Amino acid sequence: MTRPKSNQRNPYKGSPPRPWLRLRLLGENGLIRELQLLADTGNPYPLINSSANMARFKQGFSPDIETNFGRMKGGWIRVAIPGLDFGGRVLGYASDAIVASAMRSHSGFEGLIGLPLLRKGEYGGNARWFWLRPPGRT
Amino acid sequence: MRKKMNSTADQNQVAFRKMKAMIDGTYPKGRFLAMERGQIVADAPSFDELATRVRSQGKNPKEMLIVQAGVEYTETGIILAQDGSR
Repeated sequence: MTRPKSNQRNPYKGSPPRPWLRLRLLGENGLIRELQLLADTGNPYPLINSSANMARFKQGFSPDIETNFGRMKGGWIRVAIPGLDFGGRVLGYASDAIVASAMRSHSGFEGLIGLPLLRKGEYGGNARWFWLRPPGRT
Repeated sequence: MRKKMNSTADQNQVAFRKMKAMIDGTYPKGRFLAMERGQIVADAPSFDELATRVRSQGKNPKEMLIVQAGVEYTETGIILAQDGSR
């Protein structure tokens, strides 16, 4: 059986071990920032990141959301997911409290990637790895 | 006590919630709209075209609230996987 050419596979990391993915924020004048994001399939928001990243990459405001972490500030952000050949503009949210919570699992995590972005491909995992690959034909 | 509205961004958020039904009944689903000072200042079929129209007015889309007609934007949510009960 052949594996798809493009995908993103990462070993769980942190304490407790968490699934995660790399995602690139795309700004003006070729500005790119790659983030490591905790993959949260129960999170209904595409992307939650820091207020600093949001201020730097936001292309417009979007409606805010009140959450159990307080208010998340909404904005439109252009992103790309390495290994998935996905790029586009998504609704992102800024919450430094959620970023701090993710960093308690691993200091490298800079936010969450949620189900709306994970559904752009097929996500899965085993005992060691979490992956995201391009959607199948189903 | 009533919270004071402290920015144009807040003003746009409140105006959008009030205008949501009108927006959904007026514009085709998926249409992009830009709001400034509580008013719709431009609309277009795509984000990029909207940004172009806003810039042609001498304005900056980064400072505007941008929404899509017919799309639900929840006002509240729970982040299940994280501990927010601090």
